[in-house]
Amino acid sequence: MKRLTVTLLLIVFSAVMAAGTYSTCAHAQLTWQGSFAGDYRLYLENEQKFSHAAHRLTLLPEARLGPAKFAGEFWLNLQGRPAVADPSGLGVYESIFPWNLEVREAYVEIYDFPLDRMDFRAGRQLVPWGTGDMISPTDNINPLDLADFKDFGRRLGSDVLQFTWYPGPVTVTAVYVPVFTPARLPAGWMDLFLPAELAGLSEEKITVNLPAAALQESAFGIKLAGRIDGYDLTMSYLDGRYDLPAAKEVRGKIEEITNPMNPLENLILEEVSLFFPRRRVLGVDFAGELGNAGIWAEAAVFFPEKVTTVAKIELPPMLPPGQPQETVTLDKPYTKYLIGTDYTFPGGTYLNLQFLHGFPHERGAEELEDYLVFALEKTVMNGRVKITPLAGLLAIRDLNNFRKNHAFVLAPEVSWYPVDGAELTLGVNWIECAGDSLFSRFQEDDEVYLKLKYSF
Amino acid sequence: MKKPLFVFGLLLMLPGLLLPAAAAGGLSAEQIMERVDQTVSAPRDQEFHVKLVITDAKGNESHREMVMMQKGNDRRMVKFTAPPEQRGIAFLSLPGGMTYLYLPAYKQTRRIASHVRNQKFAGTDFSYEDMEARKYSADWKAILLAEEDGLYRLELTPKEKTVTDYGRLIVEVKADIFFPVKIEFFDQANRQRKVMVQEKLEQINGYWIAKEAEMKDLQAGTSSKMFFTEVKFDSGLADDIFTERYLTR
Repeated sequence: MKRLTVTLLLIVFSAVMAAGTYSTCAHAQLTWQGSFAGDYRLYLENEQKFSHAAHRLTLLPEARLGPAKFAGEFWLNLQGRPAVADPSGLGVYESIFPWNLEVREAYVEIYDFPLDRMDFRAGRQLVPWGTGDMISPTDNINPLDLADFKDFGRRLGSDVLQFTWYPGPVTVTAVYVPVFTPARLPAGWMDLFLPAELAGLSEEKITVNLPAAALQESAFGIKLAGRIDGYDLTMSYLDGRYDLPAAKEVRGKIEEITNPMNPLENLILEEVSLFFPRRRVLGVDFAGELGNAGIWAEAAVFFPEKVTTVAKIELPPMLPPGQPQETVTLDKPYTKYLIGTDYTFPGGTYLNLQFLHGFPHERGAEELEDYLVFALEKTVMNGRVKITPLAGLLAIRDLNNFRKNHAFVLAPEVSWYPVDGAELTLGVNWIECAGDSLFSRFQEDDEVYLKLKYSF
Repeated sequence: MKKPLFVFGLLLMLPGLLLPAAAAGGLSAEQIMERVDQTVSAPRDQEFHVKLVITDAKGNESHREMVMMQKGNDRRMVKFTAPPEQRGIAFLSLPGGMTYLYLPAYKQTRRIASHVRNQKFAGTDFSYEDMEARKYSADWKAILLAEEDGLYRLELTPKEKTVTDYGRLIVEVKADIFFPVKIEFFDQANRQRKVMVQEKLEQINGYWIAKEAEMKDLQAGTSSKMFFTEVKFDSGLADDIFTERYLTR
């Protein structure tokens, strides 16, 4: 362990020294680009409230000097709705105009370091693995960013040390994530992505146990990529933790049993502690073309640690004390996979189809659902207008009982690019569900949205 | 099946060695096109900056800027430098029709299949097929229609195995240097769809290049004009440039 620590320190020190060699000779040229975007979403029902009204300033600094580069992505989020809860809030600018700054990425990359044909990148960064479009079963290094539920597939940057070696026809990527980062959950909808044991439990009764910031809790992964007979092939392995928690211990009490047939009817939960189980992921993916159509596929086999939830229930005084009950909630390996294709028809209509077994937040063989993700778009008026009449997904929960158990999310939109750099998008989020699913909570939340963006 | 190469090509840059001005009569149409191929394929590598002006039917303009690098006639890298929303987008074209697209917004490189070959390249009037590096003599049958005013006028029709959206081309070649200066594109129904004119011919390091190339879409009433600057030939571009590694830098 000491040897590994010393090796890592030496690498980082050498990287700093290598960059410093250049800094004595010249200064890096810092460039900025970015965008300013507005996003307004209005419920079609629900008293026609704005479900979202916000602006975002995205800044993308970049500095290059010799074989080194700094790059970043910073989001300045300007929430459009005042967060004033009491009279004192009326005197606070941040309450009237809430804002926050996110460091999405900030990293240094050094080329041909520490070896020739090896690139080293350190800092907060996105490390997307896999060939899927927006969603990839093998993409598990960065935690999910579910803050905006409508932007599913988005991930948070992780603080990562990454080496990519290009020795020849094969590319080898190694990543080391020193400290665990959990997923970000959507405010107001956290229970959708938390264990079922938490239903109805107030937040102060939930304990979240993060892994220690220690070497033995680090995650690491390796990926080999190459090309065979015109197809790009990748194999990957990742050892880390789930970014969404599982219940470790549930404490509660039953003061009185009124229904002997259902003794848990009067259960009062007092505390639930959560943890982030370990898991190893073995992934393969490929991309290529069949005829003129693009094709890609991925499979990721998850090997979870055995997750046992311990329930400690205090029974009424007249009953003998109960024994802790253990329930195994995650144990066996399971596989997520994706198959995708895209094609452009004569006339310019573009079709993208993906069949997905297992959404990013789902885990355990029993929990994995099937999804068909689709997009059909056409650009007209010399590229000034892009029409997307069909985009969304179909959640197929039970093919034999499809009518009573499915979810259909449709998001048609039209984008207009009136001048260089400017983009206006008008669209609709429409959800139709039957049965209980991730989307059924939003069935009454159909909305129309307007997005504005200017890049500079 | 021939794979599209997605490359900015010889069709646009058309650099060529200054060949002996022997383009006199006696050459067959096929021989003329072979000489054209020799002209446009001459540099070992090439690099240039391109300013692109796209004009719509109402006269509104939009602008693109990019850096293009090519090695041989089957490896090409294109990186957009402007406008801001396209800066950093990069294309890599490799032998065998393999093309990769890097989108900085997604931090991800994606493989691009050949179904896009008849689509507009980056919103221009050039299609991906127009950008392919291809040898005319290998893919097209040629007939010499006329030789006048220092120009060969030829009709090209696709050979049996050639995959193309076009039914025929009418090409005008500058007879003294075997440099194509005008190409008219006809569809399978023999309707003229587009015309490309190359102007401001210059000789750099012994190679010819058209510093301006304009493609007009006759049906849409739009046009796209490329201006080539900072032209370099045979500068010894490294093989590493034409890799996915360089694509994301």
